[in-house]
Amino acid sequence: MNTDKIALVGNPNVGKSTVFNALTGMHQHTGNWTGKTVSVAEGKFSYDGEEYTVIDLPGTYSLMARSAEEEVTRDYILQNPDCSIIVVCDACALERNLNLLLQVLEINKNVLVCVNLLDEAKRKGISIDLKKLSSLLDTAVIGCSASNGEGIDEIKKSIKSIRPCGCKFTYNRGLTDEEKIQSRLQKAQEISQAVVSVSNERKKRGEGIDKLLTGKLLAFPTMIIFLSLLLFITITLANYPSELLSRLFTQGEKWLHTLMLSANIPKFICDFVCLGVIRVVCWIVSVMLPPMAIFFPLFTLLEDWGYLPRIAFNLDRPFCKCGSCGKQALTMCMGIGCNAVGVTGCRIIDSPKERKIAILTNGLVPCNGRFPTLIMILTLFFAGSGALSSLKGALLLTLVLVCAVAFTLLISYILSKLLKGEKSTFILELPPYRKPKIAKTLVRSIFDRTVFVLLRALCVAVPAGAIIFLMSNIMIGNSSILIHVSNFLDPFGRVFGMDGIIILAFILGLPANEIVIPIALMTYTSKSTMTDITDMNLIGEILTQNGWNTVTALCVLIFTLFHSPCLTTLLTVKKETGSVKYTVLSAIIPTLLGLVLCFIVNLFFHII
Amino acid sequence: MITLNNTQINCEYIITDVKAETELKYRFYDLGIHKGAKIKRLKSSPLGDPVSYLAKETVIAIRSIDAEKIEVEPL
Repeated sequence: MNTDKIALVGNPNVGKSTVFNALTGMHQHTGNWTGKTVSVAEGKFSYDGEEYTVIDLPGTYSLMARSAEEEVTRDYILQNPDCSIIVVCDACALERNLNLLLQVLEINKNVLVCVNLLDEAKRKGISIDLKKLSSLLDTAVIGCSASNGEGIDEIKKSIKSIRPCGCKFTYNRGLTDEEKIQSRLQKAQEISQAVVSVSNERKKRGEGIDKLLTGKLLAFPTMIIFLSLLLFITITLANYPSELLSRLFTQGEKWLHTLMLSANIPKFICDFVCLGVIRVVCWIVSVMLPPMAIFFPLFTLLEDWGYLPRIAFNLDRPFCKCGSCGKQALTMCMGIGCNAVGVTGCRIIDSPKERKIAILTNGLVPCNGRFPTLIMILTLFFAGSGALSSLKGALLLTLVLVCAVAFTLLISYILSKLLKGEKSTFILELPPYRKPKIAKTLVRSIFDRTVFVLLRALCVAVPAGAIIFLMSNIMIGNSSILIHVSNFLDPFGRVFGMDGIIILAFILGLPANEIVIPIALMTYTSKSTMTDITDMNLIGEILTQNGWNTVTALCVLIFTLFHSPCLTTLLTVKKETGSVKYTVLSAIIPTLLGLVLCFIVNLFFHII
Repeated sequence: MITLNNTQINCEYIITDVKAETELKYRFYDLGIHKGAKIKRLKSSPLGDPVSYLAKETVIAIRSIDAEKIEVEPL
């Protein structure tokens, strides 16, 4: 059966996705448009025995095809002339939305106009004469407040009867593009003036909040507090599900191992599958999943609330000086959750050059996977013991983050001088603050971000588990391949203040940063499988016995901060840029930076 | 005649010309910044640049280097 197609078109921030979600419920999936870096969601719903496919086209201000979003939207409308279109308009800013509506009408007249956010407009004292709008446009107009479901049924009801709009809006002959645009803007203004009335007693909302979030004095402290809270909640809360998962997986692994042995499968294969592959995969899942499943929903809440564009607004100046734009601050924040998500997030940056810079430098921000290592080293070697140690540790961690940001800016500056392309302009809409929808946020961000990364991480974890197991179990002479390779790497590691085992752990930890320290500990204790050591003092003992001192710790700290991002991130870079060159660069730049810094630190401490 | 970056905070202006290169100019148009439209300066970001403006009931942040290209008159 051929279902009727309905495309949703509208400006960004008009609640288009809310309308989409309200129409389709959970029956939707997000996919990438072929060859484009813009994602388009598709969903289905049935009404009155008919099934409809709804396409949520990217939010766009116009159809002039100057950005990827506009191009996708325009192409879709052009290539599907029999498709019905719902143009979602913001009741609070109708005039600007009408401009897009008029552009859509020039291409396709099967239009249903949905004036959304009526509740917000009411609070602002704006009222809209929907009947008059309908008669002026000669098309069906439906008012709704999609966030509480008002008007959604009417949309469903009216879809069947969408008919070509009779709106006659034609240009005089021989107009230039500029004149056409001007006359369209004029028309939008006329219509808007005829239907919108604003009462004088409009309430000003969000000004106090604005002072707190973007005010001269408070903006930066508030931003740091939000970030620290986000990290604190993520790190503390993630421990519990992590432990639970890890315990579950250990049980499962034991059970499978016994089962396989009792089925007379050779012991080496049982060990390979259970203690090698499955253990590493479970390890990564149990360490990686909980922090991401906590961090990203929280982050999405901030996003829905409207705080993220304000961060970009606050931070645009320093980034602008370094040849980038404020939005890079956002992709860096996403990078703290997971570098792969951060790299995907770089799509929000319009200029191709600035997007490349943001992608290449995203790995310089430590992700969730690297935080445990950083915290462990800071606690064991720098925070000391005593009452103030945890506070000292937190301050040191902040210092490490500040370093990461400073180096991101520095590298961005250098890259902006080296890469070709024009400097972009920064024009950003700051949407009004909105109450986020908590339940929907949870579901959406877990599906959109967490599952996406997890699936990719699994693809690289399986071969990693296999390689680590084989290297630590196949013997050449008296010792395993692992020992041979680490001995070989040792002189190299010493130059940079580390040792062969650490370097090897970083190389084998490429699939996921979470397993770097476990691999190092496994090799130090000459075990042949990764085991979980949770006792901090024991870890400290093992490390000092193997020659770690403050300089080693500092170098490992630096190298944890600055080395190649994990394989998942590299694969994402490849996908986003479509270029092997940039993928290689995004691995080499942080690694080189880390090695150079380690070399300098090591040299410095050897001389004094 | 003054340019948008030299306007007073919380004052309303009417746009007389947008003198940007085509691409930027059309972006301004899309956001409701065009000849004849009203615009009001809101507040600067904590570091002074960009500045947010109210145009067609929406808040838009513009860097001063771009705001320079928009000519306005006090309303």
